Amino acid sequence: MTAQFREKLIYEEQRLSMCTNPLGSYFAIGGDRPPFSCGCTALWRGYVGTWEIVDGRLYLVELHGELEDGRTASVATIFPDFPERVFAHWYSGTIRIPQGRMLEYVHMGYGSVYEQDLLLEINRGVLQRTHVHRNGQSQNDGPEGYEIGGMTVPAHGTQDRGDAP
Amino acid sequence: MIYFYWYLGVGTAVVTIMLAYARLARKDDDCSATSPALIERKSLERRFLNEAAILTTAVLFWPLVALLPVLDRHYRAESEDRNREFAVTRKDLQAALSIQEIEAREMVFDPLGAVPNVPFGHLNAEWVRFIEGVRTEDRLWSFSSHWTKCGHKRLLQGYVIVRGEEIGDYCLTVMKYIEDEASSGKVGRDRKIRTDLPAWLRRQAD
Repeated sequence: MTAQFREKLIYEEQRLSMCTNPLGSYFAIGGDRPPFSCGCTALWRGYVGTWEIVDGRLYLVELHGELEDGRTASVATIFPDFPERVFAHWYSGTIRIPQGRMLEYVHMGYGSVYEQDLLLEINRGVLQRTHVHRNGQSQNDGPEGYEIGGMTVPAHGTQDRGDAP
Repeated sequence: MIYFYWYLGVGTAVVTIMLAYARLARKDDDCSATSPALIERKSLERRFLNEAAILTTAVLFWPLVALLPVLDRHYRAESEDRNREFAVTRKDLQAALSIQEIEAREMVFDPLGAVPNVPFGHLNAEWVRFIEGVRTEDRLWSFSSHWTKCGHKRLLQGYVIVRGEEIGDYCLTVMKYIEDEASSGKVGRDRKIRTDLPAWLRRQAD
C-alpha cells in the first residue's frame, strides 16, 4: 500500500491537511458511491475532498476526482441537489490533522507520524471537542506538514482508447 | 551423524502422522481421491517414483512441512475474518419503534440548508429502500453494536427489522471507528516517538 493524498479542511480560516475520509463513512453506511477512477496508487479512493467547519458543523464544499468513464467528478456527482455545500450529518468519528515536522514516514495509508495531531471529535456532523495529541519532537529541520513519499501512476495505453499504436 | 538419523527418524514419524491424519480427515465424497476419470493414468513405476520423491523431500524438510497446517489455519482464520459480514444480534437491540417515530428522530436540521428536509437527510434513499422491505407483521428496533473486523473496532448503530424470532435487514445511521483498548496507551520508550495513537486512526484511509 502507498501513503495516500490527504483530504483538505478549512478550519478557523486555515487550510489544513486532513488524514480522515468522512465520505468513506457515507458510502459505508449506504450512500451511493460513484465509480471513481483510481489515477495513482496514492489515491486509491479516487477523489480529494475539501471540507469546512462552520459554526461547529462539518461540510463538504469541494470534490475533485475522475470517474471510470473519464468524466470529472465533483460534489454534484454524489449530491446533485447540493452542489455547493453538503452537511456531513452521517459522519461520527475523529478527524486527524497532522501538524509540525514529520517524525516517521510510513508508506501506507495515513500512517506517517508527525510532531502532533490536532484531533476533532465529530458526532453526526457536529464538532464536539478538539484536543492535541503530541507525538514527540523532530530532531531534523525538515519541512512541516503532511506529504507523501512517492506513488505509482498506471500508464494509460493507447489501445485502451482505440487509438492506433 | 547420530543427530542426522534422529532428525530423519523424527521427520519420518511426523510425515507418517500427517499422512494418516490427512487420510482420516478426507471426506467420503472427495472425488479427487477415488474417481478414475479424474486421475491421470500413469505407470505404476512412475507413480511410485513420484510419491517416493515427495515423501523423501517431506522427511528431509519436515519442520517446514509441520508448519504448513499451522500457517494454513492462520491464513484461513484471517480470510474468514476479512470475509465476515456484520449482523445484528439480540443483545444489540435497544428499543422497538414505529416508522413514524424513527423518521421523527432522524430528521436532520442544518442552518445553512445543506441537507434535504427529509428523514435521514442525505441518506434518505437508503432509508426508503430499507422500509420497502418492512412487512405489516414486522417490528423495527433500534440497535447499537461494537463490531471488530480485521483488527478494527467499530460502533455501528441504526435500525433493524425483527420478524418473529428472526433478525433481518438493517439500516445504519452511525459507523464510527472506536479506540482499540489493546493498542492504546502504548508508549514507544525505546524510540522517542509516542505510539499511543490508535493504529486505526493513524492508518484511516479508504
